[in-house]
Amino acid sequence: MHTIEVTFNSALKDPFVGNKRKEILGLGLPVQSVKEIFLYTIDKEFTKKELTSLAKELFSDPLIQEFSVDKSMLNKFHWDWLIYVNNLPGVKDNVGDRSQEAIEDILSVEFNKGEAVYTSKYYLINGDLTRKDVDKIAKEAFAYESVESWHILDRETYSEKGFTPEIPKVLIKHQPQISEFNLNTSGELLKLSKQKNLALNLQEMKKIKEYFSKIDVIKARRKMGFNEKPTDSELEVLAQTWSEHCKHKIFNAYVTYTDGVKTEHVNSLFKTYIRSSTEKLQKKLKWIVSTLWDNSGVIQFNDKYLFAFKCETHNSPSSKYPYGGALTGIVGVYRDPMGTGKGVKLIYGTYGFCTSEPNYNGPIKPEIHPKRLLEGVRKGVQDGGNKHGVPTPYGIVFFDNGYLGKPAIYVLAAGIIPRTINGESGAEKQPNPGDLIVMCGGKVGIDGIHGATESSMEGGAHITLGHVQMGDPYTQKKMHDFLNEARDKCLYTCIQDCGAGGLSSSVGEMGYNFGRKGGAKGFKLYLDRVPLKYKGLDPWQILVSESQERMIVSILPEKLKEFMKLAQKHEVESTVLGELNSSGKFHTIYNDKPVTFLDMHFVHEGVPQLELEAKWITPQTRGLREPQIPKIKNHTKFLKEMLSRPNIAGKEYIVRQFDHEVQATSVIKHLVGEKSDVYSDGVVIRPDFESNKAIAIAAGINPKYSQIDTYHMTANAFDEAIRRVIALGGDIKKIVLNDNFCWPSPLPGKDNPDAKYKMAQLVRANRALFDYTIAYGTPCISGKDSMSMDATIPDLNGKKHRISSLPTAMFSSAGIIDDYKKCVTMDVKKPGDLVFVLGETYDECGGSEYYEMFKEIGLNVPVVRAKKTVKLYRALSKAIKKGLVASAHGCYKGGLGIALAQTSFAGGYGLDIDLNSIPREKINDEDRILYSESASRFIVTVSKKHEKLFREIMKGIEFGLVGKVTNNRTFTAKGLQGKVIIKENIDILKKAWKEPFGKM
Amino acid sequence: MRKVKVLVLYGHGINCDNETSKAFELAGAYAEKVHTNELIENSNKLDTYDILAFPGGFSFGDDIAAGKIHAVKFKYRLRENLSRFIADKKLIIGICNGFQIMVKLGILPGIDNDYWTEKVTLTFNDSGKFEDRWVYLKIGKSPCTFTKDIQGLYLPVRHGEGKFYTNQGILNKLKKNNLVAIRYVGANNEKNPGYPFNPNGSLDDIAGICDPSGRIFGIMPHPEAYIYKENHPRHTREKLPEEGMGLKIFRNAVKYVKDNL
Repeated sequence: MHTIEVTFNSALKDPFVGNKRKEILGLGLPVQSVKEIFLYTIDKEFTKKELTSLAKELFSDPLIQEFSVDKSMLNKFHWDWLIYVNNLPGVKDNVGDRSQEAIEDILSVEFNKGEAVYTSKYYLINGDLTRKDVDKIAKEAFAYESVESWHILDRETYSEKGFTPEIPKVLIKHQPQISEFNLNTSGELLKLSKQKNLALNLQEMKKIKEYFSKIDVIKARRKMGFNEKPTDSELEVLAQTWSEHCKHKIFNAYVTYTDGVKTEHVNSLFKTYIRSSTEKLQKKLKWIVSTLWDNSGVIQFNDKYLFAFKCETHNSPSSKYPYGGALTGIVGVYRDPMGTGKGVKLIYGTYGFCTSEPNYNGPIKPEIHPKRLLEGVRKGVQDGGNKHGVPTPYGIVFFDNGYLGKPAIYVLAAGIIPRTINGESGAEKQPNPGDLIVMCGGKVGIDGIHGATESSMEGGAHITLGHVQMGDPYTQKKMHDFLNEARDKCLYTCIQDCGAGGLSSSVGEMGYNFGRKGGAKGFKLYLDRVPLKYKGLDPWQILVSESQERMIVSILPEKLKEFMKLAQKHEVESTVLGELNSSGKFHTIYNDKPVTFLDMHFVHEGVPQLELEAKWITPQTRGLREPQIPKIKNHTKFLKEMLSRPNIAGKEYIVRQFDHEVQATSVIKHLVGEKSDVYSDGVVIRPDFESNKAIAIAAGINPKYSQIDTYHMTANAFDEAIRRVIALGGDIKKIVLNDNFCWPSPLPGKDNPDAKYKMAQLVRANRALFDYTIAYGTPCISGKDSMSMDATIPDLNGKKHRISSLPTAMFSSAGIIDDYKKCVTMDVKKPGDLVFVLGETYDECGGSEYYEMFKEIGLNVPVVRAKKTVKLYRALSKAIKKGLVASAHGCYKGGLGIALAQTSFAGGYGLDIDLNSIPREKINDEDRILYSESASRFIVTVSKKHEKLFREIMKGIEFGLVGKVTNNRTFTAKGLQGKVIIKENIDILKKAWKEPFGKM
Repeated sequence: MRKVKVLVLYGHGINCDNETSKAFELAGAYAEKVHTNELIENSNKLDTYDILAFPGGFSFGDDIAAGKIHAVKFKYRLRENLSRFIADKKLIIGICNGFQIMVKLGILPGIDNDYWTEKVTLTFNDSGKFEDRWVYLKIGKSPCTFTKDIQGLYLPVRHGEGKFYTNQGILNKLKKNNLVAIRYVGANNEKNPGYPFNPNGSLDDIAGICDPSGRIFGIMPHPEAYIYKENHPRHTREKLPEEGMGLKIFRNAVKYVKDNL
């Protein structure tokens, strides 16, 4: 074993050290300096000469770094405290893996099994600190408990005893075995489920017991070498497949809903509201190609390509290890469209970070402070997207302290597939009996065991950390390029993501769901052929491990050779694991021993339907009222305060750290305006250089309205996602959505007294989804739910609190743009242009930023008036297509006041606005006109020469000419009495908007 | 007329290969994406091209240091082929990660006839952050083929390790031989513009350099990211030419090959 240490020499300041120091100061601890030393520990024998050459040629930069070989540098530097941070065993070490590859190249050697390179770090700290302080630094700034270990030494102890780092080598001293379970012990079923962390309820365990006691099942299994008892693997397969994560049991439950007056029954929210809406619309909209069966929905993009997208959440892992959770999330969601149809080329990703406020300073003490959490998930998506070569052009950030328990971390992926490949539709896949099952990508380890079952559980100490992982975008990018080429050469018949549930789910689905018309139904899989990271895994672990960066393909035997050759060129490990057949069985084998033999039908359809009660309590009954709020005295000051609110203020630092322009497809960016620093309503990318068609990308979310009514919360989020696309120049006839529900658990239990109410909130949200998708004609083609947004965490005094997030529905939208050259942005363009407000303003401040400023919720939640809205959206699309609109900006959080200010300071010109001319209904109060959050409104500027045509197109729409763009930098608004109530320099307004996150 | 053949590297985490190919095609060349492993397998393959492009991306995940592992691969597996390519007076361009590979390999700045020793480096931005932002660039007086007849450019940087650094001796040599092809400047061409105009703290505001022949060129900002008017962040409000500014770099390269090779 050898260690090479590398550190920056005195030529340059190490920028990370500066950042680390800032972080420590942020913890309120006095630190003078920090130095970082990087350790590469090579678990293989080399000569001193070889090692020195490696240190020089590979591990260090001669201009800015120094190194030492097999002799620590620690004595060379002055320090008071040392923190040594190392990975926990089994956590993926990407730098270590790549170092090994490079050493093999340089020295022309091969690493044997068990030999590897490990990386770790020393932090050398100077400062008047106690051991307790240093421990806090390690825990809260340098290391994550869930994936790293640390060791603290003071200088004196080091001088006396020295320090030898240990490598986190995984050594499982265990002979792999297959265990059996006796289900015939009455009353022990639930205990078994808990013991094995299966997350199966009693009803489900009983169903399993019943299956295994069926005569024909016993007979068939005996023939294959089993006895009547199920194996551990069989229970695990069922637990994974039947998990909430995979089977969406809550969305498929039989629900009895009452609002106190009448009672209704809903047999599956998914089928009743989501599936039926999508199916209805698909019949009407011929450009929708494929929905509801594959990994994501597919629509036509242009005459050459199809488009697919999917948004996922990665909440549980991100709450434990924000960086790794979000990284694994984005890299993982990429595999959804990669496994859709014949497999996409990825064209963009987006993000959504719902956390509690970064400055949270309340009594509840989450394991990871929201500020660190937000930075961690941001960095995770950054590395996942940037290193995968996929632009991350858009996203949202939303703060609410309900996310203290669990954050909602969204990741979306989109891609294009050729419409036809060798005469077949790019959206089709056809696994045949006799096809070989091939696993591509990473090796399998114990990391990520039980991801599907654990993400379906509530957060808290009982969660083991098997599901916290480290994604590797590099490995997956190679696989992506490889599979795109294999697809175009028609080398595989079916492709499927290997994600939650591991091989159990991916091969399980390939051998069941995709085999249409004579396709495969059943498979035989040899678990001993699965390439492992280390020895000692039990067959059940191999079967359900969620080790990342893997895809499963099925291949005609005669294509295998060519497939493997291409895999070799791209350096993508690919292994034949078995074959598909038509047996109808989930059959796995390990070293000739039978492991599972289950009916595919039982695995996929056997899960019993949940029955849930839902009880709606009206907002009035819950005590919500319209509050008495003092009149705004100083409107200019108030506007600036509103602009600085965390959920309104700009977060440019987040946008800039994502590569949002790779692939050269970016045509409207998220930051626009005179200085390219104000949020646009959404973004536009043009994925095919040969076509003017493009995709407008946005999202809508506002869980605050859930406090009043989740029906309207959902309607507003939905409308916002569409409104943003319309503002860019989209067309309501060509917009599709992805729905994401992040909900506090509606499952009854003694610690969940209002489960029925939460279920009723979910019912109402789904009704809104149905009503508005149908009314707008914009279908949800993909979607996902996460039904355990709860956690139990301690406060300062150690008292435990159950924290549930607000019910959160997010809609991600994608609108097909016919000609990207016609798109518009939100910034005003030139003095003299007329300012119009489209859509009416109502007294709808319930759940608004304005009320929240006064710590009120209110009652009058914004109502989306579908009929009027659709008419307005059509008219605005038409006006933009005709080139009549200079700028268009939707009104979102903070209402008109915020939107007017933004459009003005983005464009670098002042506005003269008269509030009297704002179209409105039953609202005669300046405060409310400015800050009501009524849906479906825009601010549009139009050059005088286009006024007449514009007005013609807007006939029948509620709109008003409210002012004009001025040739100065002053934003002015006249109140209802004709008096100027806001007057401020736009640079000062912009500063108020930018400042809260300006130094991040 | 002869078709100019460009080899655009891909694989191993390179990710700007498509748009770099497109930029060369728009400039009138024939661009082909070739995997590094194909070059290793077929040692004469490189000889059949006129231009070699190292596109941007995250080769080998930027692990250890950006461009390092890919540079090692070239040094130990493709040194002869690359030497021949240089001796044949062909063109090489490296963009962002490609530039990082080239400096770590040593083929830039290639002074004193030494193309295999690292003399300058590109390292972590002063901010410690990856950033995607557009920057103003001024073309210096240099023998660089790629920047010929260009005065200034406006292009995006998208990197976390773009800070140009070297020792005083090398810097003097670069300046003396006019090898600093391109520098970060302010919006109105101001020198020493500071952050964010110099987005990474590069020594002497250096954004790109060439070798003494002018045929080997590396640049941190992305010319292939501005090949269409609508790539520009303010195309909805400013009068801009239909052709993206970055395309000139590729046109220069193609023209050179047509005129000289």
